[in-house]
Amino acid sequence: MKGKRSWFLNEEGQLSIDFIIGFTIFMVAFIIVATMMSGILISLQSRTIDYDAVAYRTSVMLIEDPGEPWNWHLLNRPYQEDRDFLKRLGLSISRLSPGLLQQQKVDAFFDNSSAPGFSGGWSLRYPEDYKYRLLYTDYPYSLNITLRKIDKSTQLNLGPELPLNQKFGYVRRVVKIKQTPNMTVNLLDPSVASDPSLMILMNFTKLYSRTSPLYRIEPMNEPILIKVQNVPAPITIEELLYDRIVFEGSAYNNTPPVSYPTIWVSKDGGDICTSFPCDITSDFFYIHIDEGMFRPASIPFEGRYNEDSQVIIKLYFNKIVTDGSFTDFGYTAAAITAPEPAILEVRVW
Amino acid sequence: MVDDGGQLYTIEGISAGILMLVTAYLVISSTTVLTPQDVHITDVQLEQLGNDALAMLDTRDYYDDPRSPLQEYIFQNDTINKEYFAENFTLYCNSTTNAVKKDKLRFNATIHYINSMNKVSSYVYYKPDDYDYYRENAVKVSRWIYLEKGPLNDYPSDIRTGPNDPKMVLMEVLLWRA
Repeated sequence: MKGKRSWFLNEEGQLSIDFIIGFTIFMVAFIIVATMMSGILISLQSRTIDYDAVAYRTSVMLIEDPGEPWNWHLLNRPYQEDRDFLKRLGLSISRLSPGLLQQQKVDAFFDNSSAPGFSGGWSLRYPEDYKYRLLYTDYPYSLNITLRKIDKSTQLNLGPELPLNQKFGYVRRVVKIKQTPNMTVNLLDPSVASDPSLMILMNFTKLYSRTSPLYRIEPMNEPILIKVQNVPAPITIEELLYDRIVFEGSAYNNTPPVSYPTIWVSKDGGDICTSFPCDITSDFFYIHIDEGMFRPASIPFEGRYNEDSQVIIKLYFNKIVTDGSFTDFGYTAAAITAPEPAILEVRVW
Repeated sequence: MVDDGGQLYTIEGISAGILMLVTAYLVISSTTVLTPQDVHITDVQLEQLGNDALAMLDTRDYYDDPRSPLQEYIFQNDTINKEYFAENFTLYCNSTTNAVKKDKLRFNATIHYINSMNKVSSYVYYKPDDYDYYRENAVKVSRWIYLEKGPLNDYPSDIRTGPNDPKMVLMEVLLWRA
């Protein structure tokens, strides 16, 4: 009978109220600890690791991406309407050329001079624009970006100095910066010349035929410098006009705009011809075509040119200086100086 | 004989068992945040810098240039070009934006290629005279280099199958901080 007794209810092995209370206290404490665990560990994480990741990400966006739109440096950035088109800052020439930067984007990026209102100057605003178009975060990171050409000729700096003893994220990248396309034109001696006009023809189709953007002259995207030499000084430039050939035989005589972006002439010593006629006293002068002068149709506001456009730039002198034929701005005469290597450093804290 | 021995008498025993299981389950399934070691970050920085330097050396200056500087150094393979390589690689890697401070990166370079027996061979392209690698924390960066036909000076003879074959070689640079 003793064996059967164990099947009956008795007082042994019952769950005591002490145990229930103890167990409840333990479980509550345990759940609290378990939920706090991840929070406790987060504070153990080194801050510099997060900073390093942000610095790396920023450098990748800057030097491996052309930004959005890819020719954002042509936007009239002080104007809100144009600024709204700028979605992302990036410095490379194109998506296919990481590490190869566009000089104009570099200049625009590092120019954050404060302008009153939105119409005074050509600038991005620090830190808002860099925060929402480069860092993409609300976390109050501080940013210092420095670019120095390897030959030490230029040093550009953005953002505040790094505070002393501050932990920071860091990355250093090596880049190359594409230089301005240029050409030299020799005027003819008056004894063999027959025409008072210098006509420079830019055939965009031919210029854009090269596939690699590093070696391609892109008149819709970058400035162009033309040196005119062998000038029979003193001489007067009577007029400077430009034409866009829309179809065979058609041409418009346009005066370049008065303000940037435009086509302008600079003389020996840096003086600028502000109006025409303009006297030239030395045997050379420069014709500058600003980037954005031939805004591509993909850029809003007055973009009229595309990769098949043809443009003629005309200069009329008071003397005969050419034989009247077109001077072709093409790869045989024009060149791009070798890209300049530079170091880019990003610090985030 | 059936008796009381070995029976589970108390419900405490069962609850303790369940408690242990629940605890184990909670501990295993709770999110753990692992803290990566700082050294990996430094490695990434160094690797990125080395890759950048190789990429920039492998960029032609002009459209008409037959070879990039790096291709030229490897193709010529003489003392002067090895010096150019070392000089420019040092310049790209050790320059900072600070006017006086320079980084102290050191490196050596090896070229790997498939030899005429279809096996991978190595050739020490550049090894500095004044320092050597003594198991410092280092990273390896590499880049494929295309060499057009023409004699490849001072390379082992098995680098080519025929005298005028183009060749693809892998340049590997070991980079460390002094």
